[in-house]
Amino acid sequence: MIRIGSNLIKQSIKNTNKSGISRFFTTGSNNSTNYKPESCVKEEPKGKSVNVEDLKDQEIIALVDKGEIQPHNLETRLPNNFQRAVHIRRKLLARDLQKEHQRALHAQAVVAAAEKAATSGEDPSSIQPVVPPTSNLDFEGSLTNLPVDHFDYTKVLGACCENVIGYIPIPVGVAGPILLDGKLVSIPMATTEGCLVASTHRGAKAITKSGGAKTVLLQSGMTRAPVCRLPSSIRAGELKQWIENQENFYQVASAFNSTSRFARLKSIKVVIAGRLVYLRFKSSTGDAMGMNMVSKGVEKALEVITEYFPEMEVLSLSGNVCTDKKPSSINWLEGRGKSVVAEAVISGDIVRDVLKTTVEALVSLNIDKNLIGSAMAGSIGGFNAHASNIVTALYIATGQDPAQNVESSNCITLMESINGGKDLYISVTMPSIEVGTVGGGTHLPAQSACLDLLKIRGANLERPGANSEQLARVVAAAVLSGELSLMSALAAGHLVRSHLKHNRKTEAPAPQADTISMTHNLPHSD
Amino acid sequence: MLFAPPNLETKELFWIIYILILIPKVFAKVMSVRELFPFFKWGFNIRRSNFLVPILSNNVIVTGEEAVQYEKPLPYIPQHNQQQQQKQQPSQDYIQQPQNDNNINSGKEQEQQQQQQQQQQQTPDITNQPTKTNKKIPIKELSNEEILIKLEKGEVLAYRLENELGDCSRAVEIRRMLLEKQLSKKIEPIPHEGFDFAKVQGQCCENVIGYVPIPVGTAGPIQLNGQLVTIPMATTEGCLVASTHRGCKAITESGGAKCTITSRGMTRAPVVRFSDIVKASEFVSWINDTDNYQALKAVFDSTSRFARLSAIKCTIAGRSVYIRFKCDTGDAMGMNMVSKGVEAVLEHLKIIFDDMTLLSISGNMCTDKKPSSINWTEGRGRSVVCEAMITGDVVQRVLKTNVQALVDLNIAKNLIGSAMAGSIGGFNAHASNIVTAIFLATGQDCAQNVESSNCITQMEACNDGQDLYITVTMPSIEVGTVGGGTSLPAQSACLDIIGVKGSSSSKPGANADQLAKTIASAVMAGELSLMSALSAGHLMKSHLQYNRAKTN
Repeated sequence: MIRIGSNLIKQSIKNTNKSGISRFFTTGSNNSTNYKPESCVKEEPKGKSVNVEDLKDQEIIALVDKGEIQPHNLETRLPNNFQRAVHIRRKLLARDLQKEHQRALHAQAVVAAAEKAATSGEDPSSIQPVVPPTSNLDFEGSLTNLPVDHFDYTKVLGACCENVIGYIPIPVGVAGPILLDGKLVSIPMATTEGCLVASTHRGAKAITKSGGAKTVLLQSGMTRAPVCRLPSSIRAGELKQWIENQENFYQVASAFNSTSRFARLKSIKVVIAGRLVYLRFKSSTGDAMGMNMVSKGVEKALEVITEYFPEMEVLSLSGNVCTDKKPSSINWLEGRGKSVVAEAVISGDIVRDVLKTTVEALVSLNIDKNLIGSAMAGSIGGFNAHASNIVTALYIATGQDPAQNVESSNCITLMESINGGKDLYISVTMPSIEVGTVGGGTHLPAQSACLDLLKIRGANLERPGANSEQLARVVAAAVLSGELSLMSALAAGHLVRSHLKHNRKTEAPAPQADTISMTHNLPHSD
Repeated sequence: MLFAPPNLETKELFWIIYILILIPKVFAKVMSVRELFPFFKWGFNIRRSNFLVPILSNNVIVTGEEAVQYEKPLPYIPQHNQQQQQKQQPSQDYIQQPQNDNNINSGKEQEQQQQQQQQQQQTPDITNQPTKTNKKIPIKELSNEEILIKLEKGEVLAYRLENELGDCSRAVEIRRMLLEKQLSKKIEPIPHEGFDFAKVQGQCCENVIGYVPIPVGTAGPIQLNGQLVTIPMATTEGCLVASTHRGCKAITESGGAKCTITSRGMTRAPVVRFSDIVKASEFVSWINDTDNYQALKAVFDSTSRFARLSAIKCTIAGRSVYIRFKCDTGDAMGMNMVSKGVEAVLEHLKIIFDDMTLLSISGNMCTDKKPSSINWTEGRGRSVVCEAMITGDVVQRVLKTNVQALVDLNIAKNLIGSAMAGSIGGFNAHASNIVTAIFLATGQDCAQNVESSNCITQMEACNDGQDLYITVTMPSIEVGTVGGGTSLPAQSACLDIIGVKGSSSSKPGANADQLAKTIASAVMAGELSLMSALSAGHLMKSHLQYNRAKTN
């Protein structure tokens, strides 16, 4: 009896202890398990961050494969060596291309094997796909043609480009110098179109010899047009009246101007469609092209307007009435950026000797081509011969945004005979040149050098905005040169002859060029 | 010793039981909170249901009973007639039968009207006049006052008066009485007498109460391709006819105008959608095949005696395709004709392309009554070019200006000014004035003035700067000499003045061509005169002289 009871007691005690101890330990174990991963997560990145720069390229590529480093983030992991980051990304790209190519070849081989099996009637599984050798394809080798060295990538990161694997070199030529408002200016042009620089050069020569070009800046103001929705069209009309009130405009303008040292709101044009309101803000922006500056100001201004119209709903900061990078009548009529007119009087003997044509032929062709032809084409802002060529070349050379060429090349070319029909008066009117000498690509070394060539690098400290205005004048003068030269060539029938001479190569036929010039008549000393 | 184990077990059991008792309470609290919401919801539903169901049931029951017992419709008997029958049944049982006949006749008349409209569409060259039905009905025999009472009660509908009475003039009179009563105003200044409203019904206007008279003047005659043409113009703008007249004089004295049709073809552009862009592009390739085009042309041309498909131009936007049909339409302006042909072709295409969905028969690529680049560059209707050589002495004597001033002004105003304005098709001075005036006079569709007035005016000095060469190019004049308002008496008379009344039996389309040429030459005359006035500074002087009324 005693023995049996004693055993029962012992067993009971044992069970209790086990259960209690087990619970206690389990809890403790859970806690420690939870903490460990956190400490690992915290510690590992730091360690790797320190180590990544010391790793070899192959090791970094392995980390990319594991997903611990993102290809687009290589620069942030290698902050002291962007060049190396670009090289690694190139290797990754070459390897991925190689893999994809091999996969495609294998898939192709499988299909071929299946077709062969179907044709011969053999068992498909017995036929092994024959994968062609890929040793002749070297993607990393072909990428070497894309230059990567001798470039400062620190200026690119965060401002100009992402996922960088190199750079494209575009040849830069110089036209001129052209006498512009009494000063000689050489015009840098980056282009791959044959004859463009030569043609502009001839035009600049003709203008300079005739006394030079004069330019007038009509207005300066970058635009941004948010679209807002109000509960009713009546309320929208009230908003329009409110904004057009002088005191309210000043209130909005002070809020707008507070966002930047250079932003100065000039006007707000209100366009209503139903109950949607498009507020086209126009602001001077100093030496910057100004889109970001105006956007910041617009956000601030909308906050102020919302205080008075709390039911107003801002649908988008850009409502296409701005209008950026799209053709539109409003930019042609109201202007955007800088509005510039350039003019020159070309004396009759220059027309004859340098341009190889006559004043009468030029005037007549300008009416038939630039005015009537563009009218028949239903063009808006396209009453010119090739303003877009010169705008694009100058934009690429000086770090402007070539995408804005859509509206920046809006231009009408006018030609008249004067002095009893002896001389030629030519003018170009360009209402929406969007340029800046700070921001965007203007700080890249080559682009800065081109701006230096024009003596308008960076911001003008004495008079903010003067540098970008000068750049706009240079653009207009260059367009004037290009128009003059191309129209002369067309009038003189030089098109075919020049094409044959300049664009035909022994290796391969070069792409057709729209512009031509009689460069063999230009003295080398120019 | 024996109690020791039981004690421990009892203790444990006690704690276990205590916890088990405690947990349900806690759980119950939580659950009770959760359950409150669905319970409340459920209760609310019951309450609302109780509130709504009886009413709904009552409505259903009442409606059902009413439908069964009181409002069962009888064949061909309208409700108001039924009520009238009930009211007058004891004393006038004979009324029921004549009214039934009336309704049957109305149905037949509707069918006849539809047939007439179909015939009108099928044969636009025939002037369609609705047949006056000789019918004797009680409502027709009623007096105007009695009919007015029925109109107010809604027993007769105002817009159907012509059909009910068979007398368009009387219908107009009654409608005027109704309108005056409703407005408590007299509308006598709107004339209605001396007008054949039978020609208006079913073709030109509905709910007619009269007509608005627009003065018609004539300019010219102008020498056009060797023959003299007088130009009727309906306008309320002072100086317009006089100005055009002066231009015609200058042109005729200088040897006349020459005019040519460079293109003709009315357009209609339906928009269709496919499941993806590949099928859309396959469709376009299929259409562009010559054999397929010929097959579609056969389908299209079969819909009319005069419709002749001349081109199909496809434009892709995403997976939508805009198919712009261009068609010769004889002497009609042709919109309805082209639309019929397009419908037939679309039916044919649906059989071949089963995943094609028709979104709209008009996709705005036509483009009708809207400004567009495509009408300016591709043309629509007739494309006309007109030219003249104005001798220097005529410029001096008639136009009171000189050649060089005109040329300079044309460049500065019509070319550069319109370019700076971002205009499309608006490189002229006032082509729209002349187009509108002639359109109104000859029964054309004035809403199409938007694109019909597309015009570019060019002026050059020639013969060593001594004479003026002027041209107008108008790519989209949309005119017809049959259909629309051309059949109205006054408009028809104006067409007769030009010599293009009705359809040309010998050469279909010749009359519409001639009308287009007349318009272009008139525009040239108007351009010439206005530009001369502008360059000589005559504009304000002339306006003051002509527009100042004596009573003012």
